Amino acid sequence: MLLRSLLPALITALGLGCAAAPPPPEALALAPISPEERARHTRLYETDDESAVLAACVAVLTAHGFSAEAQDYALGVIVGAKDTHAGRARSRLRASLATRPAGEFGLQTQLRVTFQRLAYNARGRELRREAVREPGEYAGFFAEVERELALANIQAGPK
Amino acid sequence: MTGRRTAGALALTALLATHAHAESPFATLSRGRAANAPLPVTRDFAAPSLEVARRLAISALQDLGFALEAANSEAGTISASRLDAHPLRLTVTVGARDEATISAAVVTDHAGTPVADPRPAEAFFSAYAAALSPPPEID
Repeated sequence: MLLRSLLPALITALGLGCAAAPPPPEALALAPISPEERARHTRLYETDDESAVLAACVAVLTAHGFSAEAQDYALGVIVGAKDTHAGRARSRLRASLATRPAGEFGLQTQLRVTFQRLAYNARGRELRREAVREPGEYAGFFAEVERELALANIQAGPK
Repeated sequence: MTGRRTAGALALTALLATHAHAESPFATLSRGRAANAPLPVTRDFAAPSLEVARRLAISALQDLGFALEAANSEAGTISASRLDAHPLRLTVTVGARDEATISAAVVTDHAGTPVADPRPAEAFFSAYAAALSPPPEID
C-alpha cells in the first residue's frame, strides 16, 4: 500500500532528476567530407546574380513538391522538405542549399545542396536519418536548375 | 489511514526534494538553464567582413557533412545537423568582435539535449579556420 502510494512521486522524482543519456562517442566524431562528395554537392554558375540562382532552386524544389522549411536570402540559404507517408510511419526528404559569391571578383555564384532522408514514428520522433548519396539525384537537380537558369541566359560554370 | 497519510507526506517530500531551494518559478528556470545548457564554445577569427564570415561558417558546416536547418542573417545564427545517422546539431552564431575580428560561438545538441563535450565545436573551428584561410598566392 505504502509502495503503491509512493510510486507516482518516485517516478516523477526520478524523471526530473535523471539527465538524458549522453550521445554515443561516434556521434561526436566529425570529419570533413571527401572532395568527391563535395564536388557532387556543388555547382558554379557564371553570374553574380545570386537571387536568380536561388529563384531557380525554389522553382525546381516547388515543382517536385517541396515546401519551405527555412529560408534566409541574405545568407543564400533555403531549406525545403516534402513528406511521404508509409502506413503510420512518416518519412521526409529534405533539401538544404546555400549559395555564395565565388570567383576572383565574385562574378560567379556557387550553389551547394545536400539531400537527406528522415524517418519518424507515428509520434513524430525521429527514427533514422541518412544522406542521399546517389549521384543521379544531385545531377538531376542541377540539370533542372540549369534549365531554369538558361531561361535567364545564365550558364553553368566548370564543375 | 495513518499509513496513507504518511505515504502522502513521503511522496510530497520526494517530489519537493527535486525542487529543493526553489525560491520562485524564475529561480527554478534559471537553475535549470544553468544545469542543462552548457555555455557556447567561442573562438575569435580574423575575417575580411562579417558577411563573408557568416557565408564561410555555412561552408564549414557543409564541409563537415552537415545539412543546414535554419539561418538568420540578422542574428548571424546558422543551425545545421549531421546528414547521417546521428541527430547532432550545431548552432553557430557569428558576430563582429571588432573591425577585423569576428567571434564564432557554437552550441551543440544531440536530439535536442545539450552536449557539453567541446569536440564537435573544435571540429567546426578547424573547418572554419580552413574556410577562412585565403588560398595560397601563385607566383
